[in-house]
Amino acid sequence: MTIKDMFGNHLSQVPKGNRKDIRNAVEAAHAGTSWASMTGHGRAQVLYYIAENLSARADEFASRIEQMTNVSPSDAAKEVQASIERIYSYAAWADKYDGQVHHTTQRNVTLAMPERVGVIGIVCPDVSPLLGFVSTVIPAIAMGNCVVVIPSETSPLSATDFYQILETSDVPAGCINIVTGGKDELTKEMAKHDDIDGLWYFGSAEGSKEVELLSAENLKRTWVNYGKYRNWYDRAQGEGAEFLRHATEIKNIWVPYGA
Amino acid sequence: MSIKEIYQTMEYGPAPESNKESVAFLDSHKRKFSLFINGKWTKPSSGEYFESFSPATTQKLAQIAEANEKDVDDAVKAAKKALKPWVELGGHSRARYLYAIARQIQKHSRNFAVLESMDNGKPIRETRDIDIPLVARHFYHHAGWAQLMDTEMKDYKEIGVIGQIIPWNFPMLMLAWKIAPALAMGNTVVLKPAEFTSLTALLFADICKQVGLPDGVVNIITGHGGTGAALVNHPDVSKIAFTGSTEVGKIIRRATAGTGKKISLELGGKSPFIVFEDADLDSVVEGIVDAIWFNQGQVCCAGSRLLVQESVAEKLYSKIRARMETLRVGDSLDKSVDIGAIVAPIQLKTIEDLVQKGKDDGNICWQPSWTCPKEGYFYPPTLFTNVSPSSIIAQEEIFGPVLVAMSFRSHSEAVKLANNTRYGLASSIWTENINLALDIAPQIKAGTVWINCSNVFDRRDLVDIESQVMVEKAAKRACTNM
Repeated sequence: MTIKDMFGNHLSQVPKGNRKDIRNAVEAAHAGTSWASMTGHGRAQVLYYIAENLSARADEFASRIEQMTNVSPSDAAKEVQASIERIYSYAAWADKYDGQVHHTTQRNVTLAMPERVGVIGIVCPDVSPLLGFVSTVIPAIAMGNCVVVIPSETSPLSATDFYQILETSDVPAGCINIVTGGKDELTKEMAKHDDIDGLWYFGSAEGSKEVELLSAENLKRTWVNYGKYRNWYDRAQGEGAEFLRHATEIKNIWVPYGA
Repeated sequence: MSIKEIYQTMEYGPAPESNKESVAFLDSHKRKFSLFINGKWTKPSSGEYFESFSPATTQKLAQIAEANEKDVDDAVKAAKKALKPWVELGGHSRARYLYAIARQIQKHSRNFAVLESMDNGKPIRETRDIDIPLVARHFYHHAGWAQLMDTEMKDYKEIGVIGQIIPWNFPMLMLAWKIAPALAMGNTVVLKPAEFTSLTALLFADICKQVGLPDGVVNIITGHGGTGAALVNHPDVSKIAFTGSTEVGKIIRRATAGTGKKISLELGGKSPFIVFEDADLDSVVEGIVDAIWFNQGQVCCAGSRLLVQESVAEKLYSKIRARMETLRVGDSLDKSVDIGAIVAPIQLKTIEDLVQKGKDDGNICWQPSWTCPKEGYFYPPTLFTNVSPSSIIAQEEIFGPVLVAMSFRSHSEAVKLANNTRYGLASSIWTENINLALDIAPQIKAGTVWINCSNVFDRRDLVDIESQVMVEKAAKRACTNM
């Protein structure tokens, strides 16, 4: 499908993904075992590397944002800068989102350990195409998940350019899978899919409802915004524990004392 | 029987627990219970009542009000009205109420235990030693979180009116899991107990009156599925917390889709119980008793799939059969009974049907030589061996005292078999090798892993179980998800 700028000028062609591409992407994500088994320290290093490579090409990404969304050069530069900072935040979190040891009434050590959800589908917000992509994808992978991502339908090019960053940053195969195309169609396919463990959706109220409805059959974990606005530049809204909670499950391991 | 004979047979005599206090409670309500709305006993607007039976004796216990849409609306209105003053009371005052409730539950613990045993059919030994002490523990624990909310959870606020729908297998414990954290964080609640087991929730309503809990903070509405549906669909309910069947969980997910209502669902399970060859097999046998015969197997996280390493499989099966011969099934108020009654005829039928299907699939079925009492709804402990992983009894939740066993050779095969299920509530791992146990634990797709123990509970910090994963979270998290 053709991507145009704000004035209707042709920018690029991107693939129009369908059900089969989602299927293939989910299979690839499940095969991404090397990312899943990496330590937090290892993931942190890869994330810092992504940030470093994005910094090196900041101007290029800024002009792409300018092209797609017609924001001013300074606003575009600001979006790239915010994206780099965000990646730093999750590189920081990657080895710090710890569990707990609970006091129980039995003679036990009871370990509450956060672990990855598994394969998470992510439908990115349409606004701030780079920052929205980074703010949703990076927390998920920081916690060890592999992701299938649908970037902004109208402005997908900063996501497709991001391939090159990933390729040069030691991100293993299967960790991030990007499917471009119609947001509504691809979202439905992900919601219906039985082998996606979690689904994050940032879009319209109707789309949110659809996600919750279609996910009922396999009861995957869903996180939707009901069409509500989120300011991705605000660190209180755009990053932090809320994202990490959705990126993890807690496993409780009871180990009794005594021989 | 003479003492000499008893010494020879070593058999238990009858040891009935007195039901005097519980009968007095039922009589004080003239064995006809209204709805508890806005701090008052309120007759159902439909005028309809249904019977509650004791499954161990089939005796009628009481008539229970059937709440309709109007009653649900009244209850939600009362909860909504009570919300603001309850929030404004502040954490410390709410802590005092929760603490008072915990104390009253302890004071009336015998009555709760007996009434629960009569209404549900579970052994008095279990309600007395496990369910009710855990209920008190839960209210104490969350009294603490109410106290600490202002300082430790500054960013959090109440959700609003919470609709809570609970199952019949642990009536009081489920009530505590739902109500304690909700009240601690400043929410008000409308709770619907399961239709088979409303009585202890109604006794709890009496406790709420006794401690002077403000009207409308806790509302108890009894009834069947229609009552629950009215609660789920009510526009002024901000969250639905549900524990029960997977089927109903899906209905709730669909009914609330797009409304912005929060939900937490805790649904079915088919939890693996994995025995490696170096495990202490005698401990394993007792672990299995706790896993699948605790509460007649009517436990969402029951260890219902026994996976045992091939080298010790036959040895373990024969030990299990020997233990099954000595299990005692009978009247739930008998203090030396291991397995009580199945909650209702419909559940008994489900178990019988699934066992028949298991036999039809060619799996080997074994039951003890003794027979269950004829009065009441009983089912004997049952063991299936050589079960194929795709058999219906290995995949479907039976929710009864039926253990299905299969063997594995390698560690990776154990993990694969364990995860070959759509559920993910719990699991247990048996080995004397801690390195092996902690290597396997992260590989099992389940929210809880018990190592060399099973069905162990404590305060439970509730949970967003948006999937079927039972996740017992850090206490703060618990409260924030409510």
